[in-house]
Amino acid sequence: MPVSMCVCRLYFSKQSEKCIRCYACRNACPLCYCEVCCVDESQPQWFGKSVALSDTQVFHLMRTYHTAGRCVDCGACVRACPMDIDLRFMNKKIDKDVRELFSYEAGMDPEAPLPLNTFKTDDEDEFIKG
Amino acid sequence: MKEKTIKKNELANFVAGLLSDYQVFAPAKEEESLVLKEMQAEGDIDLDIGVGPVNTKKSIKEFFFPQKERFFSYDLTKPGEMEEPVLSDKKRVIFGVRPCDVNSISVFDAIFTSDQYPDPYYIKRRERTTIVAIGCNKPETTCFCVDTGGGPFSADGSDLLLVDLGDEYLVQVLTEKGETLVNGSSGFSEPKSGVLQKRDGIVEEAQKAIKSDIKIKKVKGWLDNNFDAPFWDTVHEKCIGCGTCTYLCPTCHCFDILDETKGEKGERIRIWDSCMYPQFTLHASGGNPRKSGKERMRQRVMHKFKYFVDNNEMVACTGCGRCVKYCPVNLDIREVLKQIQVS
Repeated sequence: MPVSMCVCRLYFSKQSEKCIRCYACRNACPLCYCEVCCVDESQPQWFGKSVALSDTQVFHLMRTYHTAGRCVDCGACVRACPMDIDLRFMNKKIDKDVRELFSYEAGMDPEAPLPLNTFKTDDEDEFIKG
Repeated sequence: MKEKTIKKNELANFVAGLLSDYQVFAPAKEEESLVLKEMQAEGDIDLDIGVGPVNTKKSIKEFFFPQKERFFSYDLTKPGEMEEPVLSDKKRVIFGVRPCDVNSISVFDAIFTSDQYPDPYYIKRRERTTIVAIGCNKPETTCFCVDTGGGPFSADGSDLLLVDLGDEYLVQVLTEKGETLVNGSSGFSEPKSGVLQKRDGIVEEAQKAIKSDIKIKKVKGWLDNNFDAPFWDTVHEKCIGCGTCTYLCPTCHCFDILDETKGEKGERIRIWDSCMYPQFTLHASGGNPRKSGKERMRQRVMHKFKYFVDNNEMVACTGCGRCVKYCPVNLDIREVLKQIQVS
């Protein structure tokens, strides 16, 4: 694994360790509109509910991926977090990936289709053919 | 009550001397906040807690009531067998705890050491712990301990209470556990003349610095008769329903018990729960008696300032101000209580 990736993993672990599962980030987030968040589902229970590192990391990863290509980096989650977790860290990485892969920046054009919500059946990339 | 003094430069020696017999935890700065951290070696935590934030971000409750507690593990292929964790017997000292947090122990004792439902996990951790509290010469603007029956130098729940007198600490020895600590060290002396008067002056000044005017009995009187008041329709409106206030609160003690399984193996755990979450009262049928923020906010206020008083003759709030300081939408419980008392 490249050193930079190890450093990122360590940093993400360190940040996730601070999480108390209060969900202030999620509740303050303008993108989190699900009526029942998947971490709150109990039948079936998709996510562990404790503050074990694997559980807190999965929660933050899930939120990062669910907001990928939509997050405009408003910072509401960071301001809401009582534990000073660097919540922008993962979103910024995804933001960069989306820009590089799809030439798309969330929030710049309200009419543009969201890159992760659209697909073309004649997409020349291999993944679509799965 | 015995009183001693210890020079500030002797304090590190005193604490280092405890390391052979005790695990020692003390407030340490991590990034911009204070956390209670285990001292691994003499001097690895700076004990000059007079600088920086007054209190730790998380309260002392997790030392007795951790956010995740494993009760036992099981394996369905081995019916009847289960493995329970062995709780440590090692004595420990938690150093530098603020009075609001030590006062919260009375609330926990009322619940977890009651004759009806004694909690062996809590009791074992409580027994092995000695608490050295430190009074607050400079309370923060969010503090309101004087309104909830405590104060910046309230000693209830601690074994020793330190009062910062400038170049030395006045040490109030409050229990046998506290006395054992003091007797094991040579750094303590009898207070010189004038020291107690100096202490009284500091206490008075700190109490005056806490500017709040909540009449807790008046609040209780109103809550007794106003479960259905229109007040509840609007007071919750800006709450976003996160668990910050309940999880950082030193007295909130509600929990959930659940099984976490993977294949044939699993464990039964207890985790903190929050009355601010919709799932807190969600029934298996899908019904929910507290279906909106209104019912949930009312429950939080009622539990702390009415139900707990009815059952245990004390409020379940020590005025530490964490919920005021860290609420993402600045929903200030002091303002809620003040609105209630003029209703």
